[in-house]
Amino acid sequence: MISIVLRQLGVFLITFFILSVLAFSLAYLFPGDPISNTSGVLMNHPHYEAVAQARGFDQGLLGQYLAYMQHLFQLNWGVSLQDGASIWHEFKVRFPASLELSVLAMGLALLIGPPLGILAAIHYNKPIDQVISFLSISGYSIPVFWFAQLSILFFAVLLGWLPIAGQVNPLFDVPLATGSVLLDIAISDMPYRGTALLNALQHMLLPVVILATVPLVLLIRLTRNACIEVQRMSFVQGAYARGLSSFSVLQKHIIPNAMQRVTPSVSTAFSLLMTNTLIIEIIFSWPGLGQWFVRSIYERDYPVIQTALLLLTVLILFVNMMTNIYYVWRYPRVRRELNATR
Amino acid sequence: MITKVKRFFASAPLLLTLSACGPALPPNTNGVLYCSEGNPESFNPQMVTSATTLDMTSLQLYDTLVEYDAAKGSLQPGLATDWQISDDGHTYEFTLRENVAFHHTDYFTPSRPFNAEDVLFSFQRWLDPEHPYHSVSGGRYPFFRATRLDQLIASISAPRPNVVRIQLHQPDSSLMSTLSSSFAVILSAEYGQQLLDKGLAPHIDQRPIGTGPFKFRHFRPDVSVYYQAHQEHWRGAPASDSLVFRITPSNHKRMLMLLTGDCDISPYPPARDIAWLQQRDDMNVQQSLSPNTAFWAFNTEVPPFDNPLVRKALSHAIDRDALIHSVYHDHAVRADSILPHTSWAQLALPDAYQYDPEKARALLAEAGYADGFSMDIWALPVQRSYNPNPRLMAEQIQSYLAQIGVTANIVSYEWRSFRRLLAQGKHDSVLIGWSADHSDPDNFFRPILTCAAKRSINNRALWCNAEFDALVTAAIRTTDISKRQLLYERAQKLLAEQVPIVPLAHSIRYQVSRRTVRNMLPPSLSGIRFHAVYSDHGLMEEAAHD
Amino acid sequence: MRHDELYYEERNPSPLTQAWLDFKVQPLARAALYMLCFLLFISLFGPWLAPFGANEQFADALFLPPAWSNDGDLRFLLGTDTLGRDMISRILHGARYSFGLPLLIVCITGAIGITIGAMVAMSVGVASMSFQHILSALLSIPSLLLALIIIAVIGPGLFNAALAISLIFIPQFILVTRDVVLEELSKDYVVASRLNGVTSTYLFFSVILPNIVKPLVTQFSLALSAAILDIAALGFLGLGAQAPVPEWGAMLAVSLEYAYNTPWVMALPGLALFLTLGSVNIVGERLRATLRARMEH
Repeated sequence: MISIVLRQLGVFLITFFILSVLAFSLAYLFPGDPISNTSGVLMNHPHYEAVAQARGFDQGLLGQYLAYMQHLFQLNWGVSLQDGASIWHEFKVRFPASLELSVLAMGLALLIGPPLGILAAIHYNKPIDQVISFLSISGYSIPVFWFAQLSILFFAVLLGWLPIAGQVNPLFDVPLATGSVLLDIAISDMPYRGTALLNALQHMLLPVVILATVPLVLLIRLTRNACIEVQRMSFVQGAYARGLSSFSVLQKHIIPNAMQRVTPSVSTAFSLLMTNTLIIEIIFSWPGLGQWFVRSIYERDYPVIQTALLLLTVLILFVNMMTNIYYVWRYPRVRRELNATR
Repeated sequence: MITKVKRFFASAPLLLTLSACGPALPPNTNGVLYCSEGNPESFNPQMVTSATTLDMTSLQLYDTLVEYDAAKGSLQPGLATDWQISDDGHTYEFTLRENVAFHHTDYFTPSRPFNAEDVLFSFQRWLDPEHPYHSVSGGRYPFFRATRLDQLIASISAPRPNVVRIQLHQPDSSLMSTLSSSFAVILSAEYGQQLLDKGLAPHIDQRPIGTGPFKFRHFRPDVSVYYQAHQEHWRGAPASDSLVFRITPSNHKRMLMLLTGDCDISPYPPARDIAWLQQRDDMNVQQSLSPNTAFWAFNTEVPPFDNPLVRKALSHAIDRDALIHSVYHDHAVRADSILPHTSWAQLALPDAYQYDPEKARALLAEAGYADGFSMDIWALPVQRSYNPNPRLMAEQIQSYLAQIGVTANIVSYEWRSFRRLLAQGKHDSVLIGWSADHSDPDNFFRPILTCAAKRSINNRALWCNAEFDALVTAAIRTTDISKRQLLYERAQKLLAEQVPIVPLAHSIRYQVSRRTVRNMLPPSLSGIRFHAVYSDHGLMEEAAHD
Repeated sequence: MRHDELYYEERNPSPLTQAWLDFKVQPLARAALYMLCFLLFISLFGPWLAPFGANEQFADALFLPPAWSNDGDLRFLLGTDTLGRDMISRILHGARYSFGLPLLIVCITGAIGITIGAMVAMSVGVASMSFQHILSALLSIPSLLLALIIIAVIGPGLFNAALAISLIFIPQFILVTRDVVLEELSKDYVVASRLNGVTSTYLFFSVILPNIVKPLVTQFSLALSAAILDIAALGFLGLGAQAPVPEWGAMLAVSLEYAYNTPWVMALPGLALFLTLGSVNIVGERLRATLRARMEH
């Protein structure tokens, strides 16, 4: 087990290294001055020389890369070219906001995706299965930006049930502490916390449900297909033959084995979710990483692009690694196979 | 703590199911949500130029010595209750209001009310290059530079704690208008000193302290600016307890947010939606004439435009009403003078610029160009508040000119090169305009049409006329309104004879608010006043139950 | 199908015949297949089918709703947009950007990727496992995010968006091909062929290729679906196709500005995208199921 964790960690560290080299080289790939591109300090700024020195621009590329990594780990990520705001401070409050959305959406998908998939598999080729399969392929095919806009028009503009912008109605005056609005409300000592929380949840409802769609339908399809495959296997047939009730076969044999096949795909679902977060945050004016990243591309805010890119990809790779580790920890058979072959 | 948080979250799903329709609001709030188009550049209006920043800061956080009342067209007391002008027009003396409280916030506690020291501090900041705050936050004061106020004021002093005396180099009757503009705000000298002692000078422009009806609470870039009511405001507490500017650059997003109630007020709705909005009974559309003029300037230094007859001919060749219909979608009024009709000095001369192709051809023949000629029209490459579509306008003018035998080429460059080449006088004619900085009519004459303006590149016609210069200079040297009016009328007649520019249109500015918003006034030159505005959320609930 | 043979003989239809038989019995899959054929047709001939030009403006017909509503006009079956452009014509013109272009990208990158992948696998042999791990970890980053990075470097535009997506798909195809070829190479039948002394070209095209069709088809259909979505998403974000181009994602982005009072302008490009993606996904899924069933027999 430890060797597998170490191997996963090794892969993660090497990919991180590759990505950091890529991010570092972006400073040169972007048009303009590499020092400004990486630090956000413009050439006419009084501190320019000092920044160039601190970032090793008087040395060779290796020295520059090492200085870049040092700055990265010291959380000294430079400032935005647009407004001169510290990138770390911006990240600190935007990351929890994004995480809040994606964790809730992923949670929703994990909560209802597998049960629906199992339901479809039990009723294989019956109307329930066909309805679920049809909905899931529709959900997989609907472009998320169109779906979001349709929902806004229907639930917010036509029915007036839900708000469409931001994390909470600003009249509540929620003090900004962590960036995650639910946590901020919970730790604040403002009046009407209950109403504020309700308001925040209303703001969250549409983006979370829309974000959950893609991972949800992915999980439904994977679970359904896995269950059907497992059902055909001889040990399941044997279990039936031994006279076990279909419920206990389902519970003891089919679901655990099907889940083993679904687990590695959770990280795929998460990375699809992160892509959609970029778009959803823009549509719902959610002050998270995605909105920040895409806007920095519009505004050619190179230090922000450089940092946001590294952070987003590292986040995805991290989730990937954790899923893999969980997978081998949870399923000893996989572990044995891995150890045997390599 | 943990259990508190837990219990708190446990109750959430229940609450969510309880209210299925309509977003939850804080109880008993009458706060107002304003959808703003962008982040404020600074919280100190002295340093900015953008109208967006001005709307968000000036009238909300600060007060000025005098205020301009657009409805009455006259000056009203602000922080100064009274003012005296010496007979030679060189000395202005302001008596200050007593017991005006500065904002009390979590970062500043004022120990004394407003007095002359604060006025001196605020004015010296942009006036005196030696002032400790002069170069803080960039040290540029575009408004005071543009209006040459920093050249005009010789000295400023406080003979008594509640009196401020301003000494001018020469008489200038536009001074009071300049002082009433939303750029000339009063900061707190005590706060400035405190920050200086702590070495945090730039905070003065980021965590502002003023005397205005709202006090700063927090600002999150790209999200919102939150103001709280300043209960001790000298006019009385504002009607709403809070005022929030939600930063929403996208035009359609602001409209959606207005429709869903995520915003109460939104400026600049899209022109095509105005008729639709006016029909809706949950929206209130307000409009006001913007103090700007779009015009067509001829380069009077190059032939044939050095001939007034040619310029006059061209002015009769175009149908401005048609332009207003197609370019502005009727959201503008025809300009019959460089001054909008909201100015007291305006003299409308519609005949001088009337559409009359016959007359245009006759004038051209008289000038010796019976067969026409070829010319360039420079169209702005960007949208401006006074011209939503310069390119389209140029194309239409092109077709009008073809009717009188003049061939026009449309020229456009990228915005920065456009300005540079324009400043070098490379154009034949240009479609451009002017937005006023303050309410005095002088702002439409001296900065753009005098010989001095020709040197400062704002004179796009490169026109220099001694008689005109004498008229507008005489007008600024006297404070007698009737005398000034007479002088400005003569100046406008001269413009109509000489036609260095053809005034085209004054655009209309719109603003939409939800019906639940009370006491909203149409937008004006000085910005939006929120003192009396509040949101009546009870009304909305009633409407929802219908 | 003849069932009157005397002796039972296992019939083994070719993959294409098998797929067609499968599509025949599945109405939804058949509809999706027809839809794809139709899309291919309008991608090729859309401009000739369209009643008007993509950017032809009718100043007298701004914001017309579809023809069946009261204010509609029969000339413009599905209405017009804010500049008086016919929606049907724009959709027809747009198909080549939103369906044709992704299809072309996937075909080209597929050809390049499979060739390189096969060559790598056949010549280098079993490369280090950790290299593959790292590459697949990097490729687990979603394609849209990678495309955004490339666009941040080379700038927005339809061509750049297509280029960015191609750059991402090539390594994916290489990796998949290399993996499956390596897997097959170690199997007995390949070893047997090798012992027979066939050339490596023959080995790849005639021995291995028929056995790796399934993973390649899977990859192809997934890539097509992702390419369509990415081109549209980039257009929607304003980083792909730019305004007057009738690319569906960009049309959708523009239409949002009026969506609150003229929803049909928004409905149409979104619906077109939805149907296209749906058809690609259904056909892809069906093909995979067919091939899987074939492998199991």
